Amino acid sequence: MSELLRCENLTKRYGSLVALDHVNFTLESGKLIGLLGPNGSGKTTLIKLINGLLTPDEGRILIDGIEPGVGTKKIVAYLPDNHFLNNYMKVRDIVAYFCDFYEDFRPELALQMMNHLGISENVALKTLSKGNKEKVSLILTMSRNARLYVLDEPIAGVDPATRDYIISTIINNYNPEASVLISTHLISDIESVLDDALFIQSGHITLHKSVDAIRSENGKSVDELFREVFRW
Amino acid sequence: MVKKLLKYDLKAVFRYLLVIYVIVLGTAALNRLLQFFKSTQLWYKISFRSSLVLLIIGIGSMMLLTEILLVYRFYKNLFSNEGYLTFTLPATIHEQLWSKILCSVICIIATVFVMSLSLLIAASGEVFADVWRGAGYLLKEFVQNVGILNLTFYIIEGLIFCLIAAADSVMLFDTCLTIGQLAREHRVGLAVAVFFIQYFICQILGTVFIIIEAMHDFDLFELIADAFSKHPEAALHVFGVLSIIGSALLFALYYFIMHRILKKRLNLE
Amino acid sequence: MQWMIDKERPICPQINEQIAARIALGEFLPGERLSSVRDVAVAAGVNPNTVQKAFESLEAEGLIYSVRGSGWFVADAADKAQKKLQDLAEAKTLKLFQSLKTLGYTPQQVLALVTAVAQAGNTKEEA
Repeated sequence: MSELLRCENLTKRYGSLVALDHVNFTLESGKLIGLLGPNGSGKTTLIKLINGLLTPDEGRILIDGIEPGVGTKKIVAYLPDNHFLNNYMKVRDIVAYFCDFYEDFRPELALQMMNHLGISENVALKTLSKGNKEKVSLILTMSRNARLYVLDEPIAGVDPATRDYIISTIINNYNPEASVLISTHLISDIESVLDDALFIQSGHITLHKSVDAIRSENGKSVDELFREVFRW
Repeated sequence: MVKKLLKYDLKAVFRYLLVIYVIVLGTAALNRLLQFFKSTQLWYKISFRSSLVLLIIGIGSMMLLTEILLVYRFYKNLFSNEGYLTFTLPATIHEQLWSKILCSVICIIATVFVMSLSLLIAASGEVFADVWRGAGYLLKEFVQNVGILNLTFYIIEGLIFCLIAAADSVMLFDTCLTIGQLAREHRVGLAVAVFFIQYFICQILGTVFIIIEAMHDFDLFELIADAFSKHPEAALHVFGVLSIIGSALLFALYYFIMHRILKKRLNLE
Repeated sequence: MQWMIDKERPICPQINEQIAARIALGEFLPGERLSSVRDVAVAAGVNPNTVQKAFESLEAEGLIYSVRGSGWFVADAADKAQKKLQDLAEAKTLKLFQSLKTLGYTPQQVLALVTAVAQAGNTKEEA
């Protein structure tokens, strides 16, 4: 187990609003971690900082010991909240695209998973249903052999069967050298799959614990504790 | 990495450009075909002239559409949802920018080539024989006056300037879009505003320059006219080099602004 | 194989208990190879680390053993499994008493209730 992500005094402001306020925590490899917090808590800001889409105002963030840049982008696989797939490509084109840019991408795995769902490689991306688009996006992300996977709301807005499929894919892809950071507010669906939970509120990390510890200490599910903690 | 990025940029833009090229070349071929049926009858005059007009309009639209497609590609690939994919690729901002710049230059070269080809096709018939003869005569005169050496350098200077100016023409809009994305809302609106602000500033600066120049005894315009009449070849070279420097400075300005903003102040929705 | 996961309790012990129960009930026989950690994780919809810890705790209790490169196997420990089943049943019964206490039932009343329900269940089956 190695230290995969480290945040030291990480701070990010948008004008007068402090999105992340001197955040400190570390994540180790081989874990599935939930980044749990309401909208506006700083989840998205943190995720963008991990992916090098924002630069910190204070403090620093290290992925496998290096600051975000080309080096970290090679080992971080990101599934954004919105649809990033371009519409004019076919499935095999986007697979080739990922192959081109990411050395750790496994095209055979991606195509196998898509075939399993009945999505052939000649299908045009724009003809896919919303659920299938989510699945394809997830498959592409999980087919990378990355060190850190960052999934932003992977199961929101899809039907329960698709949710189960996505969760199974995440479990199946588990690798002790890597970690998966899942940001979501659909906690009860995902909590059985997590090792640790990170509660984030108004730019602060208020809790960082293993989920089983949360359950035994509080006698509640993580979802119930969350509702209590984040009640108005 | 630039090669890979460039491959996808070119693919995305040529998907549309090729269709436009086919249409323009088709129109030129149509015009050329019509010339086989040359006659003094009304139907010929109407169809020939209208197909020629159509071709000119087509060429003009092609130039405009090329610019539009290039700027649209820049926007879509970097600032729409696709931006999440683009900016998490393991490529530096320099590499991303150079891919867009090279794509723009290549596409503009291709469009100019198609324009020249279509004009050649349309003008290759007997109908335009006089035009060719006239142009050939003027060219010979010019070459005889300046000499082969000068001509070579003029061509080189011209080409370099055109390449940089082509890049500049697209980068102006790209820079406006990049500045526009700093805002949370109305990002394209801000880009348009930036464009007009830059336009007005250029106009104001130009007017200020002329006023200052007129206020001094030193008459710049007379100096330039003098230089051209006394040493035309050298003056033309100086003009060429100054144009290159000017456009290169603009290039550097646009590049610096875009790189700075994309590196430090990227603001994906 | 159905897994009953209660999210209000730590999951690791639940995996442990359900495998132990199946061993005690003879659904898994001594020497039989268990599904891999990954397969159990997918089937139960839980974290693989949790399953790994559950397997390790079962090993510590002597109910299963691992063979390098081959996987996990059921140990020949019927008595241990039975004891464990007994302990689990006792824990569940204690929970029943506790939950009925909140409804105002004393232990005697609970006993009477259990007997009555069991008899009614028998008559229902016979009918």
